[in-house]
Amino acid sequence: MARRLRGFTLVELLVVIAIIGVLVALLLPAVQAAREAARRSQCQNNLKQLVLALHNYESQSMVFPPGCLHSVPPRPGRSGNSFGPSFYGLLLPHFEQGPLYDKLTWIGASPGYINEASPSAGRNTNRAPVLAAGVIKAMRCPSSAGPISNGYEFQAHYAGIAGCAEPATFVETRVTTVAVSGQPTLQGGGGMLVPNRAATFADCLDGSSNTIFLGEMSGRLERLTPGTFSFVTASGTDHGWLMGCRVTGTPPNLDPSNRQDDDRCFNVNTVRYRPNQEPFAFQTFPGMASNIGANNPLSSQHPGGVLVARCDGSVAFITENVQLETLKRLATRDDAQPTGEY
Amino acid sequence: MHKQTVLALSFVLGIGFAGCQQGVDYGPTGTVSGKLTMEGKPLLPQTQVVFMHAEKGYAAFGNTDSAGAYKIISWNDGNLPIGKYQVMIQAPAGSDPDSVSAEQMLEPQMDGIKEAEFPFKYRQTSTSGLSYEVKAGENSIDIDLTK
Repeated sequence: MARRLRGFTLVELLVVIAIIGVLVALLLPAVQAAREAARRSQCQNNLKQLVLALHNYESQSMVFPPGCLHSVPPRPGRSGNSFGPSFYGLLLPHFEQGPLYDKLTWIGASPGYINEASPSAGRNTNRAPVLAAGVIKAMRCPSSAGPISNGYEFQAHYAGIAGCAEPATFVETRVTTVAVSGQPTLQGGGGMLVPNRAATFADCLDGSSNTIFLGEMSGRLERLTPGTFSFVTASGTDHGWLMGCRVTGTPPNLDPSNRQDDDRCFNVNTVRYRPNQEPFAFQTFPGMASNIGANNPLSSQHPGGVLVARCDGSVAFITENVQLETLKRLATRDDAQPTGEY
Repeated sequence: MHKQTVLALSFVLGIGFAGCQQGVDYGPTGTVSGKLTMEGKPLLPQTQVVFMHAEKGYAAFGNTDSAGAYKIISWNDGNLPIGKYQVMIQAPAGSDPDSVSAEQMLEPQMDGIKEAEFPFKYRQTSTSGLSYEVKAGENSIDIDLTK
């Protein structure tokens, strides 16, 4: 009974290793794609929760929340009015953030701006609970590689759609032109989340499935200097999810009697450019900017497009090669134009 | 036997590569170059000429040289899908938006942005009144602004 040891030759082993290597190489991109798909569906779920919260708010109040609000008292040491909350502030109790909502006040100077100077409601009352709440996951796209905050305020990845600017196939008069550094920034008011105005279902003449409510702003956009990037959120890069506006009006009369020196409206977006439009440069594309851009493009790090929530509560993926005009029709609640396929 | 192997291999590779197709088919495209002037005279060099497809929204730009000549190259290697384009003109790019504070941004004229030599209306597509048809192949589009 002679025992014969028969091993594998070197060539056989190498062939086996090579085959395994090829199979793994085939599989790896698929694993990455599967992980991204999972993150995308999580993002989709966030939008769904937020749009349901909007509907809950509507069930309770008979109107949707305004996109952003002002507060009547002036900012400390300034004239005019101060920053009220964005729609996120009013929505909090409708997406399981009731305890945080109960700790906040909406009365006083700048309740929406937690980094405001003292004395103000923002600094003295709202800052501590908002910072304690930290990152609210329902507001964040998990695919984004962007920072969670600017160091003092956390940011949201889903902007309220305030309307569109410069459509080619219909007329949009509800636009206020704000010159920023000599560049025309266009704040729209033809959407469903508009500054200082609460929309109702009755406003949505195009039909709730043909109008978008929220759009994703979680992407990484290349700036004018190649190789440098900005992570532009619903409130740009410099402010947080609670930030509203100081102006008291609604486009086309955003700033009645021109009382403010600051017409910025945070956490709302006016569609003017294609999703993921680069370069992110206000010098080339007026209305884009990190601290003030009403016309920053919708953006995401999902390959090839962005997620949006429609007014009927559905969530859709819009490719970045969508016809811009289609996106503008979707952003407008009553353009009376068929959207077609997208 | 060998033929079968080759066939099987090419089939597998073919399927593999079919999934790798990158890019978008924009249909026929054209390139755009020309001269930008105001009442016959060139503007500052590095003035930006921005072309935006009227319906599809594809946007690309190019900068002028000292004689006012420009070429649209910023996107898709300058190959623009054919169709009607609206054009806006922007002053030479100044400082980077992220290096600028909010208070500076709110100033009417920010450091680094040159005072525009041309009327405000040319800064947005809805009021510029500049609209051109881009056809397949090379397009020469001369733009003359009025004061």
